[in-house]
Amino acid sequence: MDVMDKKRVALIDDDPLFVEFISSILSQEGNFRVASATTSDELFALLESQNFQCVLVDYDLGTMSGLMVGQQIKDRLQSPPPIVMLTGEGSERTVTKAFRVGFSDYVSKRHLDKDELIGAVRSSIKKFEADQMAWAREQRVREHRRFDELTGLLGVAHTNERIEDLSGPKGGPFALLTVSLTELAELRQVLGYKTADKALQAFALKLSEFQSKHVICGHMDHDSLAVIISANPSEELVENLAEKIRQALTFVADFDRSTVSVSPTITRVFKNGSNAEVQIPAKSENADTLEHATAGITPETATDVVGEKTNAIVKEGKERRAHTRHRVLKRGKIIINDLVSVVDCTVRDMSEGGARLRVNGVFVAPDNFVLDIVGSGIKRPVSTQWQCGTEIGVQYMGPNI
Amino acid sequence: MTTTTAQLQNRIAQLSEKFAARCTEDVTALKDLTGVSVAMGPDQQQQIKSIAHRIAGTAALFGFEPLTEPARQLEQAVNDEMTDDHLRQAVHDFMEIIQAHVKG
Repeated sequence: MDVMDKKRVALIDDDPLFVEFISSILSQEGNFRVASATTSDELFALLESQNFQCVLVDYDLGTMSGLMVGQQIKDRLQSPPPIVMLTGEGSERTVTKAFRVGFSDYVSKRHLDKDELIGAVRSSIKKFEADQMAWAREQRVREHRRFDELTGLLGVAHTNERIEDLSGPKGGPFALLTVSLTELAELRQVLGYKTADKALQAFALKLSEFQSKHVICGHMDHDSLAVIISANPSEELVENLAEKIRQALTFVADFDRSTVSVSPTITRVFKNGSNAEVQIPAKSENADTLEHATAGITPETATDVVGEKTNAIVKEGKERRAHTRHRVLKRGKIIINDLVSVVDCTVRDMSEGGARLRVNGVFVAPDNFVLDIVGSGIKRPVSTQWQCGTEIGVQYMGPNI
Repeated sequence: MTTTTAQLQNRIAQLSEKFAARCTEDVTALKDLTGVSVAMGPDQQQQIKSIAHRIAGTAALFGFEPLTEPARQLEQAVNDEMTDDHLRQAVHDFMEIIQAHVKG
């Protein structure tokens, strides 16, 4: 029996006829279920709604590099499927770049062999599934580790064990604060899992500073943290502690060239000496403010919010422009590594010192590249100063090339 | 030949016909983009490049291998920022190649 029956494959290419061609081969000869996309936004909508065992990415997607899309798949998804590149170019340099990004295989479009294509997909899926099983085993071990490897706080199993001990007949009065990073889901969606993990790590580090003899911090689950206050704490003590935690965990920091504002959502539970549980209202006093500040942030709207400078995730004033800027709407090109990759962009505003760009879809700007503003005579090396979603701020680093 | 393979062969034949039909549409589009009265701005050049890129990537798959290299050359001509007249000529030459190999 063919164990590859009905595995899901996602395919992105900007040519609908080619998509139909590859879909036909994979579904009829390879027995895969194929879903297709012609843009990166469509692809990520697919990847975030269903599980796929493999993704096929065209190297040249017209307005975007397949390498960039591949990099984004690796960065944004918690468990990215293997990626096979389809390329009409097939130079050694292209292949090397693909493997460095993390592509598992590549297939030539120009001399396409259907058996080679199906074989590349099958072998990628086999390796991926083996890796997934190993990861699942590691996760089971991780849950029982004493300390969480991302945050250094007490692990899930040990935290819940501690709560159960205190809740039992031999346990005394205690209070429990559950603390979660309010913007975590949106950070994952807008900036990807890797960046969101860094924010969570910094968040947990600040929480860990409250640990003491009677205050233990740990994980309720992977995303939610717990503060266990034992030794019969008073309500006043717990409220004061909750307020200090709220202040300490409301901060602004830079992660992967994005400036983010984070804040905690805190719930409180008391257990008094008679084993009766008294629950305090779930929302913290600033929850309404938080909800208002973060409402409506989606990958599609994030750039509009950034443009209006009301985005709760991105701090105002990140740009430190020394020169007056003026609004423009010009077509530009982001040229990377001497034309190895060229990404189209729109120049939103310019100054003597730099510019603000907007790209379509998912793209992580490199530290340095050449910006060609079409029709303006400006083609200069630039340095990326910041990026939030599809908005990029750059500084000129030299004269016209 | 297995049934599955025959189905695939039929499907590819259908797609080849679609490709040929699309090439005919592309010729019309290229004519419109390079009309004498049309200024060859960045948008027009980008559209020419998109058509050339698309044909270059798939011509061989659908049985039109002779279109591949001329399409790549036209795509490169746009990247090289030729003068309008040179680019019009390059597009005209490419249209003739398409018409010679694709029966619309």
